[in-house]
Amino acid sequence: MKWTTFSAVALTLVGLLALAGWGIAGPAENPPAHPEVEGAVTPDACEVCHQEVTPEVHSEWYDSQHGMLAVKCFVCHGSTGEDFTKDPSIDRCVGCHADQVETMAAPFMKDKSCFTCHPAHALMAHLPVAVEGGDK
Amino acid sequence: MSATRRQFMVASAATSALAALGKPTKAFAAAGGGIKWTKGVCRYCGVGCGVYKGVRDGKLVAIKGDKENHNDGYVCLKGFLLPQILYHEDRLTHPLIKKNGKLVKASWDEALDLVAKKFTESVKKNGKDSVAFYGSGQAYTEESYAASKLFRAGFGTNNVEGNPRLCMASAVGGYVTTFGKDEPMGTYDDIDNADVFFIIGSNTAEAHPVLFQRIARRKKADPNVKIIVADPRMTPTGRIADIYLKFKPNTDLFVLNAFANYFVQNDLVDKEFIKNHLAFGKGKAADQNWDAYVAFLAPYTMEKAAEVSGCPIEDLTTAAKLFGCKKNRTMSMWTMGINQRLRGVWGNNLIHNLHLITGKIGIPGSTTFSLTGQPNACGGVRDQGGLCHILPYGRLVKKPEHRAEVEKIWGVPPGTIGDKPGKHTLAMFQALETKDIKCIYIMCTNPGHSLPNVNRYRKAMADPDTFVVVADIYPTRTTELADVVLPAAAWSEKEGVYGCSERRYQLEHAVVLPQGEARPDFDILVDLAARCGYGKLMPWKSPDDAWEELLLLAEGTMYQIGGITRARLRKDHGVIWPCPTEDHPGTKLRYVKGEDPWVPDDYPHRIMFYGKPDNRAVVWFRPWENAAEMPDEEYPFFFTTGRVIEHWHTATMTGRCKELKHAKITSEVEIHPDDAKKLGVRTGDGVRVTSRRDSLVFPALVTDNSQPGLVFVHMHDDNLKRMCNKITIDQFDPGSKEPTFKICAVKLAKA
Ligand code: SF4
Repeated sequence: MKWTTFSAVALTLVGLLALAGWGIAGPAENPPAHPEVEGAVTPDACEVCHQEVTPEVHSEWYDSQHGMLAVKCFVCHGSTGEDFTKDPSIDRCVGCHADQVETMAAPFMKDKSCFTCHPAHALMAHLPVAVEGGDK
Repeated sequence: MSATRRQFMVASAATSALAALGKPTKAFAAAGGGIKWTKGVCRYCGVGCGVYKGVRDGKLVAIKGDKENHNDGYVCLKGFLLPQILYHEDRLTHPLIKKNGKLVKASWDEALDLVAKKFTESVKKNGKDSVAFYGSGQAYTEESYAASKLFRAGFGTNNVEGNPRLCMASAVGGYVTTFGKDEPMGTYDDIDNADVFFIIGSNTAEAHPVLFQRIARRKKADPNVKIIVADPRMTPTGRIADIYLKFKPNTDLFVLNAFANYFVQNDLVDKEFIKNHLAFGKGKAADQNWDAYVAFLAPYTMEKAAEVSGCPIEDLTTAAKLFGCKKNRTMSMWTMGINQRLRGVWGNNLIHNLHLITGKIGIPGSTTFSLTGQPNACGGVRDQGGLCHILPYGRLVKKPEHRAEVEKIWGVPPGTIGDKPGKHTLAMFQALETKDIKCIYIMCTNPGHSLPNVNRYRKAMADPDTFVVVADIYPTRTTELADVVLPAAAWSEKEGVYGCSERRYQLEHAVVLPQGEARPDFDILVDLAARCGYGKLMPWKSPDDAWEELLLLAEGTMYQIGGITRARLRKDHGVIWPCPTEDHPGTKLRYVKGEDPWVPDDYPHRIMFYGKPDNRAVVWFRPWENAAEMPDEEYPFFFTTGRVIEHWHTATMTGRCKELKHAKITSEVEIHPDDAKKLGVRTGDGVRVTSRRDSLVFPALVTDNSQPGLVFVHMHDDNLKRMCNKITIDQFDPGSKEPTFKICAVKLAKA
């Protein structure tokens, strides 16, 4: 017997819907959903697929502090289907970085996100160069 | 991978790179106001991270780490997602009674009257020991205490147990036999001072993530820090290891003795410390001496250790050198890999031996530290006396003076507490099977999933002639077997004390109302006691009153928690005992002069092992032995079980978090590529795993993290087709009575 990691039918439907939605919204927008895996037999967590389909993103994360400490994809990106978010909100950082999140309310942080200075996935402590306005 | 899936993922990845750059994030909800933050403790593991719980509109909506607690503001991924455990649609919101084989809705009066009637009738008809309580290292201390008092002083039985028997009993046995008192002498602060970490039988990265992070931070701060990890599997904990000892299963006790022998042979022992502080023992008697110990160790050479364990001799000697080097401060940490074994207590003793003969103990950074699995196994069950052979705060059932002390404080007639220990966990469920126990009350735990050889005990619980009561927050593999199900209030819906791995007691505050008709376990037990005619035993208005009584019970014992008053718990971010007075800061270095209030200021040495009458800790001679069930021709593989970071215990809570329910919830069988090749299986193929107990099919995960001859399955999956405890063996350590979840023998076939 063969274990499938996704329900092929569910995936096809959600995948098609997702791609259709994209067409309207334009490629730079959030995809409306991640494939729904509800009910499927899924031994694998996100990493297993993403190692294959987004290897760079995976290794940036895996080699980072967050990767080392197993702060996994869903901590920032949520779950699948409608619960998936491609651009994590700052609420997702508050669990461990509450003080830093508070500083985001400062005026010079206007129009900035955590990821302006901490590149997504690698999320290293700080960018090597000062970000404009960041150290005023 | 299907083409559709690949298309979706690749397209998604392309947009993510664009979108991730500098897009403004949504303002944090808390900044917008409306959230009230209250301090508390994480519901899950024994690390006991301090958290702040954010409530808006009567609902728990957010968690953040508590910066003023030991975890310095960090939580792991499970802790962060905690709010969801309250709100899944499956919550039990009203009592259920089994009628005609089906659980149907009932009122509290109906349910509790039935429980009271069944238990009191059984005591009258079948004797006191026909009833039993099986509790949990996740219940609050006051709840476990209420149950213990009801069963011991009310029904008159010592059949009071809890799931810490499944995880911590061997650690208790180790501390008590070596030092005379339970619980570690160090704290998490030792991590910040250690030069060498020896992590054995512990996948700290997944099972105790915030401590792993603290170890990683220590290494980052000082690159000279060395980390030795010893485990038959390469786990994520290995990511920070300098030396990984991937020993063959069950050979660790040999390796530990070989380390001791290496210290002896290479003059890495502390002779002064040995002379002043140690005794030597074999079997149960501390009647040996140093020379006998040296002779005992002689066969445990490094060469032989390399041969037996399969580890390169260079790695073994480097590890021993690092551990024993006189200038290094060494911290050992272990958990179930050592405890859940036929010789779990011995494994604990052997780790302690390494610290004792080198004097690496009671110095910041040098300590022997058992990591606990549950948030209140230490405070609520070990300390409070929630196992069949113990009474509160280090007292033993078998000692008449201890029973008398407790009876006096309880105001019950002498002789009320039975003079014999009750039945330990496996004996308790075996007695249910033989109908010697007829009624059992199970609280806050899921033995229908978590007991070894679980088919056997599921059958006993499902038997119509046994009466099984289960109090929990969600339907579980145990509630489905129950005759009465009581809906319990969850963490954050009730108040009580948790005591974590480092002797730290903390108060968990109620911040939201219980769901539906759910009630705190404490209230349920007080109500039940009254209905059974034992209301006088529990004249408490709230858990605060029960805590007062616990402080009285601790008075005069070596636990010294008198300074941990309710008022202080409300204010402080955890207090570490011994703590005799409210202005005492708590004790980080137990047994150490100037730190531990039990050590007199004029004691002539820096450390005093006052748990032993002669103030000497015991170095025990513990040989290497086979496991309870070793692989053989018919069942040639070792089978072992453990955790993944995404889930906790039987996943009754994590399995209901939307981010976690898809993440690694299905148990796979980890198999080494060499074995996979022989069987002709690839990742994703089904593998039939068969033991002498049952036969199940798991999807294969082929990985060289495993080793030839060993397969691993995680314990969280509650699908009856993949519940690993149908395979495990219900043998146990003869000393601690802790089951040997970590080792049994299986055969494999492609399914
Ligand atoms: S490490 Fe343990 S106590 Fe800390 S947040 Fe994670 S599960 Fe909770």
